[in-house]
Amino acid sequence: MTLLTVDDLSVSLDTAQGRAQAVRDLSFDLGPGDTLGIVGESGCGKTMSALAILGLLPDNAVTTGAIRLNDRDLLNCTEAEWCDIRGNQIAMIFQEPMTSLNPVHPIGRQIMEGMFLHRALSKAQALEETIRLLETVGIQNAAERLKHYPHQLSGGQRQRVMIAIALANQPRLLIADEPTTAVDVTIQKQILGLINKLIDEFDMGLVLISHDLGVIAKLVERVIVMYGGVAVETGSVETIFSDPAHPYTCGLLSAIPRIDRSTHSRHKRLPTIPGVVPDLVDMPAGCTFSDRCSLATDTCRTVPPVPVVLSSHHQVACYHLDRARAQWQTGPR
Amino acid sequence: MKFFLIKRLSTFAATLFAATLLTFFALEILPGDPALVILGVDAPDSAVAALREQLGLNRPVTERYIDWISHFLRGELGVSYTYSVPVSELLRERLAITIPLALMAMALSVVIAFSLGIYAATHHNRHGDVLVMGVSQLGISIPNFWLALMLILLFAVNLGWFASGGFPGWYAGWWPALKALILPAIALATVQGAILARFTRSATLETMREDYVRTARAKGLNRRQTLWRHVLRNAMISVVTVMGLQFANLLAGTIVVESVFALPGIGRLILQSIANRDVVVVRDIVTLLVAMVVIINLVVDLLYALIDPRLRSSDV
Repeated sequence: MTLLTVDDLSVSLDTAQGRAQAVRDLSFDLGPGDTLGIVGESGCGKTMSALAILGLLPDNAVTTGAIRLNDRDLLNCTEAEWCDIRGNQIAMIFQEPMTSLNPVHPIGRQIMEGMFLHRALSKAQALEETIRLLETVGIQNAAERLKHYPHQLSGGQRQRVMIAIALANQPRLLIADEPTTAVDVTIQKQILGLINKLIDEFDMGLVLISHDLGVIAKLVERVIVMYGGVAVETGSVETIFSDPAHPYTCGLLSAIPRIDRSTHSRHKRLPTIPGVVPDLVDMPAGCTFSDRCSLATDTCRTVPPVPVVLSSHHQVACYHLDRARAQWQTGPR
Repeated sequence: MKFFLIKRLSTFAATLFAATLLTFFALEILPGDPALVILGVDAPDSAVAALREQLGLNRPVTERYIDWISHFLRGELGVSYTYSVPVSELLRERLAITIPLALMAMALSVVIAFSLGIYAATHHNRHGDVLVMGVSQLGISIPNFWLALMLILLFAVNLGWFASGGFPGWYAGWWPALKALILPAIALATVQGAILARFTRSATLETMREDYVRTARAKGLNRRQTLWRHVLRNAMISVVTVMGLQFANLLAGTIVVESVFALPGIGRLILQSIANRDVVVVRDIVTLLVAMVVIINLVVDLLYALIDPRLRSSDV
């Protein structure tokens, strides 16, 4: 049984510059307790995909395809039905803990708000549960802390509170959008550890969104690499890291700084992918990556590649994956 | 919070002090001798000199300033040159008109502004929003004296619902008195309300884009709940600032509107006193008006702390 099915999801935004294709034909499914990572540069459609799953896309967004949660079609839900699902069955953690909490309400109230919305709880029950939840996410003196305002907490603590808000109703699916991008490295490690622990404890499905392959590798089993709104490569985390087939994935992996690599090639610069992410309004007609790809041919620029199934858990949308793999194997590693 | 209060209170005192200096010395260098005004230009020099002596106009400026301010602080206001009655007596009856008028206008403008501003923000870029913005643009552009005349024409002359001006006094009963203030209050509130409506709209729109509003929606709150619980209180922080600043405008507006509606309020008194070179009345009233504006802004500052917990903490 699957928890979440995303089928040919496309999201476009009507902007002053024209229609921007933020997500194109994204498909995946997720069983209960499964973990999935979506990785890519900023503007590649990661966050738009997440907001689509939560039904919180901006008003100018047009969505096609299907999103099903426990076989219920979410895209046909009314606003009232969405409100019943959000924070109850699907919850989300956002990137910016500094601005994602309301500065004028104490944190306890912000956590309890979601509980009261979806469950019939007495004040005392909610209070008790909130204290327990704060302790679960690793906040000491919870009974005292819940009276505090966001500005009295550090960034790491605020992200813990955000996690507590997300867990308030024990959702079936947790979406974490760059949960550790805004906190420093030591806190990042703690937060990732915490999410990992809670996923098991609460038996939730996880969709983790990050530009950071290191974060992805720590938390998830399966990865979708997105570029220009398109899933260019999908596979298990091991496959993606050891046997990438898409030129973009290869580029991302070789752009990770590694200590062992720099020791014997000190003079070499860290490899980067030349160029910038394409404008969503003005996408290449063919493969979205063709503008920046060293292997691109005329076919790449005019006809979008169809995903090729390499193994049961590995799909790549590229015409030149053999050359890309060959290059990766002999590349500067 | 303690530090916040001390800081605000000392600013309050300093502003008031600066205002008294400015008022006093500005009136001092103003042309026009009060003694001549009282006695008339044809009065013999000896009589003028005697009156100047009697009024204390011959004493040094600093001495007279200190004399005035020390009496003022004890609540002893001067005696009007023209009316020969204590200023405090003049004020009492007139404040009973101007303060209710200002409060009515303020309340009215807040009601107009909040309902229109919030409506426009929640209907952003739709017909309702465009309409509200158009109407408020019109409201800002209309001078209050012209609006006052139009209100008189429509509601007093043509429809006969209200009197065209004058004030029956509070002893005539609260309803006739209040009724006489309704049209002036509308004339005053329209411009203020229109400006405040635009501020409310933009502050609400800006707050709706905040990350914590998305968090609230992700919890499952609907748009209405999100607006009332998360957006408005944060939007109020900037709206309240504008309200405080507007209060000064409102008091200035009463001078014009009271004249149009022939209301014997502070505004009219100050206008007449300036015309009569009644320096004693002018400086006492101006100082009182400054005090009112500064107090309102102090209240606004305290409201901030009530709305925004970040200001309550000791480190601010």
